[in-house]
Amino acid sequence: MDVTLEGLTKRFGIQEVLRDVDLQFIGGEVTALLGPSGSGKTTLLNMIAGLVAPSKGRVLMGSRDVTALPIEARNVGYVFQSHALFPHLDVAGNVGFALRVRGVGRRERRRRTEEMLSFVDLPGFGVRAIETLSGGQRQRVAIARALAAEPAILLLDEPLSALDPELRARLRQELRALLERLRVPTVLVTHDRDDAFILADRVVLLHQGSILQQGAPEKVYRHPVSEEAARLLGAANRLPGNKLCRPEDLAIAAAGEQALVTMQVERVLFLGAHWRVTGRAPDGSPIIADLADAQGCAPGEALRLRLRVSPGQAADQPRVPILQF
Amino acid sequence: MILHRARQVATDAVSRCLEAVLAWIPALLLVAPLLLLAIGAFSETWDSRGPRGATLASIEMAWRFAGRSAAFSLWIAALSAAMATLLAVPAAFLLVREASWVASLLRPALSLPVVLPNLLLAMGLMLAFPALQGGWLLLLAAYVIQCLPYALWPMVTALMLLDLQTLESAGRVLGADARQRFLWLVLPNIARPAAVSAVTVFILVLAESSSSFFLASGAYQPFGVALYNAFQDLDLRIAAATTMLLLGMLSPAVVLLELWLSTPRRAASTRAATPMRGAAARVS
Repeated sequence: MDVTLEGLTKRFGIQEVLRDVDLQFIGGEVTALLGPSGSGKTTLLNMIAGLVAPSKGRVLMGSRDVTALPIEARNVGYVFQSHALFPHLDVAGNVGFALRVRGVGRRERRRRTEEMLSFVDLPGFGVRAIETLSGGQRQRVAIARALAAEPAILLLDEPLSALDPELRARLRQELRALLERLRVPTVLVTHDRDDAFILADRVVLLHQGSILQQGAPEKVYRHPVSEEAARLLGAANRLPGNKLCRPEDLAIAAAGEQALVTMQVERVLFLGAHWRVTGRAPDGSPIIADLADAQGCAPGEALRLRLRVSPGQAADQPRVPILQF
Repeated sequence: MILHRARQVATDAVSRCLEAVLAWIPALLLVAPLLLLAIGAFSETWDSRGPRGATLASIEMAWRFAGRSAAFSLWIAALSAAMATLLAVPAAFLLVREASWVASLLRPALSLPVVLPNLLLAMGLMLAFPALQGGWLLLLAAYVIQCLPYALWPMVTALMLLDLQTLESAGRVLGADARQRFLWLVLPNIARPAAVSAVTVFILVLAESSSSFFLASGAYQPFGVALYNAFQDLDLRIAAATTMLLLGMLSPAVVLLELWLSTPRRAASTRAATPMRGAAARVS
């Protein structure tokens, strides 16, 4: 079942936190709402769930208007940032809670709980107490709980926040594998570009309550519609000729090669897979270049940069800038 | 060098002695009178030279004198504990959940009995409900009002630690209505603090004597009043034996409270999960 948002607007007093948002979430597709703090992404998620009432607009589940329905009656699956698992119930009690609420019999509840635990790769975990689970297991239990009552849509609020980088990277992969198997529309909120790119099929960029751009992760990254959209997804350099490029699009120009920009190097940082060289263009605008090899570059030196040639591309066909004004 | 070492050893020894004294003094101050009363309760004589001999006669006398009061106190303490806990559960829920002016007014009002002298409360109840004077209802009302803050605090603390708002939101998203959320999510999470509240109220009421003294009657005399009368009018050995009876009544409740607090909490078993056998999960 598809979920459609029509002209959703939310005002808190005189402040408009969301403005005329139109979106459609399709079954089996994972959508990431990506934006900085205050962009309205969590408010939007809460409006789909029914935790926040819209000031204007409609939420449709299939063809049914659920805007006026309370959260209890909406049939949405919601995975809270803190997971919000019930500490007094064991894993099975948590997963089967929505079914118990709906008066489903014990036998059917047990069958469905086992099915859901198996789906999230936690078979046999039903009798475990919540406090004995690891962070990743808790997340999977929260997802199983949200899915047990066959919701129309699955919503995840910042599913990977407040985790250390190593665990975050591991859970990201686990979560991606899990979300790929879902047939319901899934919407997740994040302010982390990597989370959005790895977990989602579609990224919706939100800024100051409006949708800036939406599309596949690569499309929004490589073809942003504005400088604002480009910068929301990572560092971007403004080059002479009103061009915008990513740090990884730059390479050192060889002697005799025409340089696009000459940068006065301020800092050279080794980041493992590449070097990050930061500095300023002659007009004073900041430049960031991610180079495969920056040995020999030193602060204070002038570095001639050109657009990088992609593998398989002819030397005279450099990578195009992501945006040209 | 030797002098320095000797000084250090001496300093360490003094520190250890001081620590031991400071640690034991409060315990001794609490236990010593009870120990003396315990010896006195089982002694044949107790005069200026102290208690001597051993007998159960004083205990028998004390039971004859205060047995009826003990039974009444046990009954009214249990009733007060049940009532105070029943009132405290929704009150705690309201205080933590609501940010309204009602909750703002209720919060200090419910703490008032802690600062209000019990005698004043007893007088107020006598003046407000003269028809109930001499009956057990007025005693029950006084005990419940006096103990309500002590019943309330463990539950308010537990609810504040619980993150009630998220718990309720999670329940709502899963389709639970207000009644289901309260019964299935809130109540089980405050069952332990509620039990602690009930036992605390039971202990407080059993040992209460100040408002009891004002509100007691010939028919309904709480144990606290009997104890006071024993020390006032009877042989010191019988008064000591009455104290032992009180300790005997209090001990099971105290032990129960301690056991309850030291037992780790266990998640409710739903018997719903056994290892999955075959059948791939299907999610719509």
